[in-house]
Parts: sequence; structure tokens; C-alpha cells
Amino acid sequence: MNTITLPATCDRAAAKAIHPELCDALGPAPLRVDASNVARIGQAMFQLLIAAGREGGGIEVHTPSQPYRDAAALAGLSELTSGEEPA
Amino acid sequence: MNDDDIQQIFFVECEEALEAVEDGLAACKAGTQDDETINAIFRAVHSIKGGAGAFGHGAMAAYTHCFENLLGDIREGKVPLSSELVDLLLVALDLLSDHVEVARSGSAAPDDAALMEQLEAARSGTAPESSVQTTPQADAASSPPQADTLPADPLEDLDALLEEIAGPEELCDPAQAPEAQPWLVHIRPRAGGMSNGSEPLLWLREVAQLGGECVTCETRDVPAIDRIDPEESYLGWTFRLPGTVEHASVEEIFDFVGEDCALSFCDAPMPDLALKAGASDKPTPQDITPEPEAAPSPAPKPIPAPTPTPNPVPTAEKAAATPQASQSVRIDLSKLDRLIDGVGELVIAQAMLTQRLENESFAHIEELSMLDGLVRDIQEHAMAFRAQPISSVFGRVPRLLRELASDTGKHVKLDVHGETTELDKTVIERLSEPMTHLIRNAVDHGIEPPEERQAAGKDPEGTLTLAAEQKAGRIVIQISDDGRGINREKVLAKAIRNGLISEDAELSDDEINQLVFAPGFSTAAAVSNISGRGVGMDVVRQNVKDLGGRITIESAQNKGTTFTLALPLTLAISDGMIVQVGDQSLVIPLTHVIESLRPANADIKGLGTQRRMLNVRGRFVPVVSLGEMTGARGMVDDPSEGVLVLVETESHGRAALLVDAITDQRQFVIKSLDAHYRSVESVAGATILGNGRVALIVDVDYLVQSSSGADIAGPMLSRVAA
Repeated sequence: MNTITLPATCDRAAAKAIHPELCDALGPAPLRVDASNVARIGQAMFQLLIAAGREGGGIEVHTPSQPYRDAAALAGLSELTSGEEPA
Repeated sequence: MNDDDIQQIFFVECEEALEAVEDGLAACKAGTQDDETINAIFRAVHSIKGGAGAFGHGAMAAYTHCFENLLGDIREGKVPLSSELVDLLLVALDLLSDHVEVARSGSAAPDDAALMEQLEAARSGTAPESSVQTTPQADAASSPPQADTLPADPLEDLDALLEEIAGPEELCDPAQAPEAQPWLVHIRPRAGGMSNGSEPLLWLREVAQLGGECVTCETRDVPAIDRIDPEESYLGWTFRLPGTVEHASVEEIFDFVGEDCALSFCDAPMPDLALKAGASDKPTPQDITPEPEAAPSPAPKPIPAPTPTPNPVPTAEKAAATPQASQSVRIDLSKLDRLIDGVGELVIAQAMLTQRLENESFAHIEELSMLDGLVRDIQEHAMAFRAQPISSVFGRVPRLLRELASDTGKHVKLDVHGETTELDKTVIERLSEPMTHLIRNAVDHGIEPPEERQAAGKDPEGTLTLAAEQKAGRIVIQISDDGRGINREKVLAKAIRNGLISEDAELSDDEINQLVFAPGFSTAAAVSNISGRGVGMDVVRQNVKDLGGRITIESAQNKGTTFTLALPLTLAISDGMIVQVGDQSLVIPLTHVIESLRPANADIKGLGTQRRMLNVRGRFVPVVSLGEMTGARGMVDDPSEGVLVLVETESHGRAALLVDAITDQRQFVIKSLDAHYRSVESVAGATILGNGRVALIVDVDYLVQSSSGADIAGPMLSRVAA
């Protein structure tokens, strides 16, 4: 299973940087996304994860950090913490 | 750019915002405010609040929220702006500055509870317990507490919270609170909302802090991963807010966002229940409209279909809040310093090239003068980057005076001139400490208590005058008070007591004034908690001297005292005259030079046994032999054989410096002697000449002063120069 680790700062620049890597890593099996290091995350990264979740096997977010959980809850995207794609 | 960098920008912006508030309140105090003044103050406080929340400075965010609430009420005319209220706002501003300071330094937040209570009290129009009173009109029905966004009474606040917690059943009851029904806001950021360090999630956090709750996150616009543009915005949110929150409160959050986010409001009373049950990407308000039965609503209102286009909500006020396209760029200071260093090296390299070409008889080629002009242009532009108006130092004075007024009971009027005068940032930064000390001294020791002033027939309120101007390549700053002036008898007595001068010394008035700068003069004998904190005037003088400046003092009994600081425009590059004295090349800063001349024998008159005077068109000035002062070998001693450079000094008038010859006049890069050797009196620094040799920059003031006092530092200089 492929794994992608999210950086501590998941801002727009990070989303831009991780975008090609994410495209490459997606496959028939769910992509494992390690969100344990995330200290700050913004809209750009979330929408990337949403798009990724719709491809192939989707994504599974593992060990999300508290800031990640908080941000996801704030944005109504708690689904992105449980490894499922939001409906 | 990491979080710390962004936070640093936030602090810089805080400073700017605090200045804007200070300016605005000064206008209010002077009675020259208009609607825009209050708006500007509000916006400044609001922007600090936004940053404070985003960077997790909770105490500051809570405090600014409270401050902002009161400003909001003033802006809306709910609370009239009385002079007492302006005083309260000034106190609130000072505490806000403290909040910013502790947030920056990471120390404990200041105690703001009492002041917050006063701010709240001012909002509700009830007389606060402290001395600050609001006008009776504030009590009038013009500001009914129930109309406020946040009720003034903490208990009412709690009630509102309980109401929210109590749940939708109660809120739905039209009989109970028909107007307090929850409502929806649809937030759709655009791409611009994600650039320049803004982050839509931060806005959402602020909405959540108002009590907002995310109902849906719209994800249907998110394209497939291979077509997604990470810089584009695809998400939209619908938030439900309690009825106690006004639309305006949410609009305020987006005040600065402008066109980067579309907002639309929907006062639908209950559909949120159904929405809440679902996950994200559930119907937005548009979708709710056709199926109102999904949620039993006691009083369904027609729901305006929100569109993602810009909301008509923005009013003139909001338009005013939209920041104009900025024409400035923020640059890290270290980058700027590297540029200045580079320019310094360029100046030296150019000097070397010139020297080399001169040796090859190419001294007068056109390209060389072109290069000279270009280097000078670049240097001037680079220096202009660092130039800042002195108002950033003067701007802190009103607060200082307020603090001093509360400590001493002396109310002092401030009169400021020339605050747009620009000088180097480093000079500005290092100026604030000595200025603060001088102002404290002026208020504490200079200006008399009101009773004493009245008895002397003066205005009971003292006046402090700050003036800055550019004069002959220097910045001259004057700090004057109209107080009692220096008591020379006391100063003399104290100087004798402290062993600074002998009892039989005969000093002129000016020399007695200068004694206050003597090390060991300001001792603990007259310590108050304001001045006399162990930082003597000698330290002030040292600070000014370190900046390449001079401080002088003038005082008249019962009329006041004036301190004059003369500072260089820049600390890095200057123009100078390169002179030859015996075996030494020395640099005389051009700012001092008036003219140079070859005297006839008849122009030189002896004075006493040793001193010589030069007759310059009927005016006699002392001749100072630079060679003698520096201990150079083989220098010209007869003025008629050498060249006299007429210089002007800050404190000792004019003098004629005797040198062997003038070799050049050019820009030189000032290298601090302190950094490479140690501080030497009579030497202002060193520079590298075109031939690669080091030349000392003469401290003209010191030399002239010491020659007149016969206290010569020559041997010291010669040791360094050798």
C-alpha cells in the first residue's frame, strides 16, 4: 500500500508541491495518507484530499494529528479523518 | 515562509495598526474626527483581533474583541463619543499595545479584566466604577442592551449561551423569540482568498468563534485530481449561526476579504436540523427551498437563493474597508542590510578602480565619471530604502506622556514639528531609548507641578515640544520643555559634592549645563520611579555619540530646557574630504566643512603663547593643527604653507583645521572602529581608501572641543593611526 505523509504545514504551497506526488501514488488500492505531523492545514490541501478520495481506491487518512482533526471538524470534513471519502 | 515569519509580519502589522489607532484617537481628542476616523480605528483593532485569533493569542483576541465591540457601537452611533470616552479608548489602546508586546515576547498577558469591564460598561452606557464616566446620553434608550450583539451583562451573556444550548425547540418557538432564530450563511471563497497568506479556514474559525457551526461543506465543485488546480478554490460552506448573532458580526470577519469570498445570508429558520443530520455536501440553501417539509418549520420564510456571485451586502462602509492595491513590498531587513553592505563595497571598489586608472593616466575618462554618478545614485536609492519618518519615534511619545501624567499628575501638552523628517532605520531604532529618557527627565525634573507653574504665571499645563529637521546633512532633533530650566547652583553644588570638579573651578553657564552629562552626575540621590532609574544622562550622551551624533543642551531659568540631538542621516556611507597630514591620510566628514583656504601670513594672529587665530573676512576662528592633534610626523606647522579647512561644529562654533594638503573629496564607507578595534575619542571611524590603505575619520567636534580646552587626545589618536 502506498503511503503519503503530509507535511507539518499543509498550506497552498504544500498542496501544490504534493499534488503530482499524490496523482502518482493513487491506485486501485486505497492510498494511505499519514496526517500525524500536520500542525496546520488549509483549504487547498483539503480539496486535494477530497479529489484524491474520489479516485481509484480512494484514500485512508491515518493517525490524524489534533490540529488536522480540529481543522477537518471546523470545515465539516470530519469524514476526511476516518479514511473515507466524504459523500 | 514558516509560521514564525508570518507571525513576525503580523507583529509589524500590529505596530502599524496601533499607530493608526493612536492617530485616529488623537484626531478624536482634538475633535477633528469624522466617520472615517472611527472606521479606521475600528479596522485597525479588528485586524489585530483577526491575527491574534489566528496565531492563538487568546487573551489578546478576547481583549480586542471587547475593545472592538465598543468601537462598533461608537461607529454605529449607539454610544456617543465623549471626551471621557476618548480617554478610556486611549487607555484601552495602551493596554492593547501591552498585549501585542507580551504576545511578541511570549511573556504573561497583562491584567485586562478591569479595563474590559470598563469597556463593557461604556458600551451599555452604565457608569463604570472607575473615574471614566460616560455621558448621560449613553444611558438613554439609544443603546438598548438587547439590541447589542453581545449583551453587556455577563449574566445576560450566559443567558444567551443557555438559550443556544437549550436547543432548537425553544428557539423555534415563535412566541418566545421570533427574531432570535438561527440563520445560515453561505461562504464561498475564491482563489484570491487562498493567496497572500490568507486562509479561508481562518475565517471559518472566526465564524465558529461567533457560535457558528458548519452545516455543510460543498465539495461538488472539486474536480478530478488530474484536473485540480491547487491554487483554485473549490469548496463552499454553509454555517448556522445562533439568532443572537447579527449578520454584521459575520460581515465584519470578511471586511478585509473583499472580493476574495462570496457571502450570502439566509434567514431560514429551521432547515438546518435536517441538514445537520446529514454529512457534508448536502443540500445548500438553494436545495433546501423545494423541500421545506423535510424540516418542520413553525414560520417558514421565503428563502432567498444564495448565489456564489459577490453578495450585494457590501455597503459603502465595506468598500472603504477593502484595502487598496498596495504599492509597497515588505522586505526582510537583513536582505536590505546585505544590499547596503554590497553598495559599501561597491563604493570602495570604485575608489580603487579610480586610483588604478589615475595611475595609468586615465583619470578623466568619461566612463569613470559615469560610473561615479551611477554608484552615487545606487547608494542614495539604497539608503532611501532604510529611511523612515521619525514619526515612528514621535508616535510613541503620547503614550509616554499619558503614563507620566498618571504617575506625576503633570499634564503635558505635546507639540510636534517635522515628524515626516526621514532618517536611517537603525538610527530611528536606537534613538528611541535616549529620547524616552530625555522626555522622562523633561517631565519629571523640568516641568513644574501645576500649582508651581500657576504661581510663576505660567499655563498650569506644561508643553513639551519635539522638532525634527534636516540641516546640513544631519538630522537635528530638539526636545524642549517650558519648565523651570536647569538650576545651575544645584548642579554645580552636586558636581562638587560628587567630586566631578574642584570647589574653586570657575565654569561658564554652558559648562555647568554640560555637567549633567558627566558620568557619575546622575546618582541615586534624586531617584524617582520615572527618571533616575540608574540610566544617567551620560548614557544618553553615549547612545547619541554611538550613533555618530551630538547632544547639546540649552537652558534658561524658568523658561525651560532644550536638548538638541544632531544625528547623521545614515550610518554607512558619507562624503568626506581626504587630507594629508604629515605621514597620515585623514578623512574630514564633508558635513562639517564650510570652505578651505590658503591663508596669507597676515591672516594669522597669535593669541596668548600657543594659540593662533585665523582672520576669515573679519571674523576670527581658532586654528587647530590636525597634525599636532594626531601626533603625525613631518606635518606642516606654518599655516601659510599648508591648507586651512574651515569647519563648523555643533557646540564650539567654527574652527580652521590646519592640514598639509587636500588630496581628494569623495564618498567613503564608514567602518566602525569599535567593531574592529575599540572606541577612540577624536576618531569617528575608519575607512578604506582607493589605494587600499586605512584612513581614520576625524571626529571634528571632539577635536575642536578638546583643542579649546587644551585637553588633547593626540597621543591616543596617534597610537591608533600608527
